Amino acid sequence: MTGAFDFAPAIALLPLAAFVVALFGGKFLPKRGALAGSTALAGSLVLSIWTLVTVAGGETYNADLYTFVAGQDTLTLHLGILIDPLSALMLVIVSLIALLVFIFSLGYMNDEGETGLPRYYAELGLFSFSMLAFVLADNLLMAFMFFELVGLCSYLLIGFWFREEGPPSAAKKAFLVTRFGDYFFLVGTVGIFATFGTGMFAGPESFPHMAEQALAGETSVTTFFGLGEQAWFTVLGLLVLGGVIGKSAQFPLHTWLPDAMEGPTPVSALIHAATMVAAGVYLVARMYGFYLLSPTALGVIALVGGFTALFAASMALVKQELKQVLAYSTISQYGYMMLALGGGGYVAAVFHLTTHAIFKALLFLGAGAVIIAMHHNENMWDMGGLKDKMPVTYYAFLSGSLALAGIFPFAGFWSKDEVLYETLIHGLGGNPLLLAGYAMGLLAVVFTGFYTFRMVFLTFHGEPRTETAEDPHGVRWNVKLPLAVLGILAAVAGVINLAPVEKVTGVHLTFLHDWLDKAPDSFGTAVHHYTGDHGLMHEFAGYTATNPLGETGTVLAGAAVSLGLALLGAGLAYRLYAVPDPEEHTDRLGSLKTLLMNNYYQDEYQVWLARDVTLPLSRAADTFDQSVIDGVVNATSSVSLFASERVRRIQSGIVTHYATLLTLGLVVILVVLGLYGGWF
Amino acid sequence: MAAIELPTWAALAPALILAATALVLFLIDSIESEPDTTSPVLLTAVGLAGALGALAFNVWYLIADTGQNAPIELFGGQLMVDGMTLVLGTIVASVLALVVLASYDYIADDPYQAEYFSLLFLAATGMTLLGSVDSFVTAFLALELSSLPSYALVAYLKDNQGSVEAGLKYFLIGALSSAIFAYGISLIYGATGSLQFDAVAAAVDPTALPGILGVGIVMVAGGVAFKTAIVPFHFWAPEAYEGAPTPISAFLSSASKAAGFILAFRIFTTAFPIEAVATTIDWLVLFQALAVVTMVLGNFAAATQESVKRMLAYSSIGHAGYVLIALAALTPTANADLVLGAGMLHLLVYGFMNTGAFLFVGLAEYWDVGRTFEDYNGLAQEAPIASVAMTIFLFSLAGLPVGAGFLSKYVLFGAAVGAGLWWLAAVGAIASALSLFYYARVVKALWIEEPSQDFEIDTYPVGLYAAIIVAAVVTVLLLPGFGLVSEDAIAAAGALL
Repeated sequence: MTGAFDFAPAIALLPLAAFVVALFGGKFLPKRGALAGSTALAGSLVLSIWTLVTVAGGETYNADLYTFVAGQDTLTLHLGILIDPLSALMLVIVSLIALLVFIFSLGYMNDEGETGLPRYYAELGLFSFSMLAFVLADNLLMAFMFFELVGLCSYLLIGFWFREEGPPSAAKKAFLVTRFGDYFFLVGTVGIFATFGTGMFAGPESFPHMAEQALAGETSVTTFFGLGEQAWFTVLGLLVLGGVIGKSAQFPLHTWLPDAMEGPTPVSALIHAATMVAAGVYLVARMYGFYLLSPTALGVIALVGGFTALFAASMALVKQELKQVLAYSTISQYGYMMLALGGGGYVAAVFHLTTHAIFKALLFLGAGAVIIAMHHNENMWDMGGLKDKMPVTYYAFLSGSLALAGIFPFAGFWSKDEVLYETLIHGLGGNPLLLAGYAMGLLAVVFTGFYTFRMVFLTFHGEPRTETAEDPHGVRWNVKLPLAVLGILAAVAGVINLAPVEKVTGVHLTFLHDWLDKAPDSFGTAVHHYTGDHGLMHEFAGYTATNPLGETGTVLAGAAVSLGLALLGAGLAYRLYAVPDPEEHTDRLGSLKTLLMNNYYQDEYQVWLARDVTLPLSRAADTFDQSVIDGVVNATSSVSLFASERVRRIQSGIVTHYATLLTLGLVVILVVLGLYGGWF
Repeated sequence: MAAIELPTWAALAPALILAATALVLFLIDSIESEPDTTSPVLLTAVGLAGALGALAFNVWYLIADTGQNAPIELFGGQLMVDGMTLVLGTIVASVLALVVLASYDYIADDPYQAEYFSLLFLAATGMTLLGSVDSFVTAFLALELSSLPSYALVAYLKDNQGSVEAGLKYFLIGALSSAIFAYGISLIYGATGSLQFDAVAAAVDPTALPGILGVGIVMVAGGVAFKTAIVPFHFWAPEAYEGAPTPISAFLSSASKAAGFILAFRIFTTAFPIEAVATTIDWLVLFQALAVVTMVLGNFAAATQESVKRMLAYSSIGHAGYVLIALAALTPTANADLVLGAGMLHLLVYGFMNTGAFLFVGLAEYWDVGRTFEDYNGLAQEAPIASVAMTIFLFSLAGLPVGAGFLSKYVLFGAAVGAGLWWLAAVGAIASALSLFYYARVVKALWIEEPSQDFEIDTYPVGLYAAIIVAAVVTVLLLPGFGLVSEDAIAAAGALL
């Protein structure tokens, strides 16, 4: 009997087909490949939902598809598919957002008369293929391959308008910065293969399981550099984390993401907000069983996440361009997810990943609609009063903003609250690192509320500040439809995991928790295996939860604090900016504003690192290579040529010489062998 | 051989066909009404028929396992046919067919074509027979049968000073070497009282007259070293290969060398097995030393040549050094089948890639392009197909995996390492690395350099082109088909030991 899993490869392969069609036939198609892409993604979405339903029925799938290097007595490299609740959920998110972005692109790209559309849709299709295949990956190597492929697509799409000045440079920056992180990931992948002989994520032969057994003393694995097992696993985990930090734009490798906004807005929505950037977080969630074995790695993840959440939010406060605010907000929100993962909140992280994918895609698409209306002017100070001109966009955008700011009862409130709550209780359980992360996350909530509503008020409220804002360009159904769908989802998606309500009322409402717990025990990816009472988190990471006010009390207090802070930030924004003619209040920050506008000089120091540290080092290496290495090589060849010239002269051309040399040679051989063989 | 029961002498069919073809060509020449009126097409067709006939018999016998389970002895044990005979026969007949095809164009304007072809077939008969000799007498006769026509062939271009001079030098060095060989045989006879290989091995007495036996063995080794162009008996080779008509250079450096090596393999495994003579003379050490010197000298000298043909001549000496590893690595710890088989495989592959490379030089001479590397600059623009083929030959000769040269060298060096002679394999690898330098110079000249002259290429000779393309195709096809032929070669080696 054929089931959903037999079609699982098609989820990824349909967009690949769309890529081929758009690339080679896009010119001849009515919408330049958009329809092919939309159809393919619709197919992927249907199959993903079917898969989701099948997983809901209790089935999972973990199988090899194609072995490209079969090792004898050593590791085997293969492509395979792992479908458990986590990947099934991610498949639906990715294919849904990708489909909506394809539809939105009809309005953003086709209706605006852009050129190069077949290329655009081909790259979008290739991206969807890579991202879906990454999600399906059952081993680390396959994950790495598609991780790189999504990176390539991101590069291509950021640089889509390659004739302008900004996009190519931003594309290069994104590529180089993420590649820097990916070096660590690659080394980590090799290390994991060398240590465990496998890169499988799930099952009894998987590396998280083998690592767990090794720490429990049941088996042993090869470690390197004389490190103990746990220390070595920490090193491996942190190496892979390098790729995660690059891809999910965490401090200090976040600098590429704001620049990536040079790409078309639908691309920003799909790749740089909802899906690819999530790949890093997804990877940590995918191999969470491995990270849970190392409290140090978890601490680093939490601290990086908490710091990034605050740090990026502070920069978003002063940005003037719509998409820049959203870019920093994206970085900040991924910080929350990392904080949750580091703080032992696996479900919270996946929850926030899901809700964020929805409301951030919504905000970007809304921003895209505004940008169309504003004739591609992105400066918020040139907008204002758009509320009445484009109501659908406004209400959808507002829904997304409320979710982003974490206002009750929108989706973001529930997920962010759970992130903070999980971090808090595990921090109170005796982990000051987590408490530091929590504090930063909490502070970032105020900032989030402020910058979100500053953006909303500046864009939609008050009086139009320019002529374009007075007479905006209209948008069509293909823009409004995705906005409407996502707007509704952003408002209600929180119901999938109403943990606080459950704790207060006792009604069972944590559906996402149940969902992620569905993974079979043999996979070792279920929630109870991670964070249950006898899960890895307690056994190996040593996390314990403490509720100082009782469970209900702590939940309510935490929720009240974070909602209060969010309302504080939003209220401040309301007072300052919800006026007919707002001023640039952030000017009062003085030199702090300069610092924030310049992004803490992060770009400058990275450029300094590249230009004043790396470049001289490379020059020195080059000099060494040119003089010493090449010198040795050249000396070898000149010695060889000199010797060759000598050898050549033996051949004098005079036959008597030849006869003499031949005879002499024979005599020498006879004498030597005679002495050697004792003939005389 | 279930279907048709051939008489025993039919095992010699390949050699007999070649000899008969030589005679038919003589006959055609003697009944023509006026000198040089016979159509070259006819001569080439007869030659090609003879070469392909011999090739067909060899391949058939190889497939039908003729003489491979137990050697077929003929003429009271003077001749024998076994797997190695057939491997050599295949190499000689294949190279001969290519050379005949290429000669059609190359000597199109020269007189005495019938004699040329006839001599070619007589030499080929001698070479084929060298694979079936089982006594020193027949070995000497076959050696001379292959050598004497070769001298004449090298000097075939009578108006070309280089050709005549090369022929004379080849003859003089050949005469000296034959004398050494014959003297060695007489000493062996004196020490053992026998000329048959098996009988010599049985009669070897390490205690009696060790000096006479030892000198005899060294001198016999000298005789085969001449045929295979191993240092210090190599002096004739660069001169002869450069002066001779290029198809003849190809023939001598491929087929003649293979014949010499097969003879060496047979003599040193059946007449002087190392177990029997080790106390008198450890010829492993001798061949190890000669292999190193030959590889180094051949490759180093090739590196500084200006003429492509002379470069190929020295490279051919270098390759003799590689094949000599097959004898040098027959240590007690070695997998002897594999070592000898690897030598034969390299000879087979070399037969195609080296012949092809020389024939490309012949093509360039046909077009009067010139002799040096610079003269070849930009030739690929005029003759892309032939240049692709040449590139395959050269990279395969260097041991890159575009042709079977990679595999045969790999097996050869691998077998040497297996025999515990990793240093010998290392020298071979270094020499190969050096060889890439001078092979790549030709490739660079063909493809990358700008033409330094205006080529006047108006015709594309069919025969030469066909021969080059066939050689290239076989060189490439032997890469996937290597497993197929290596079974036969290693089995043939196994039967010998």
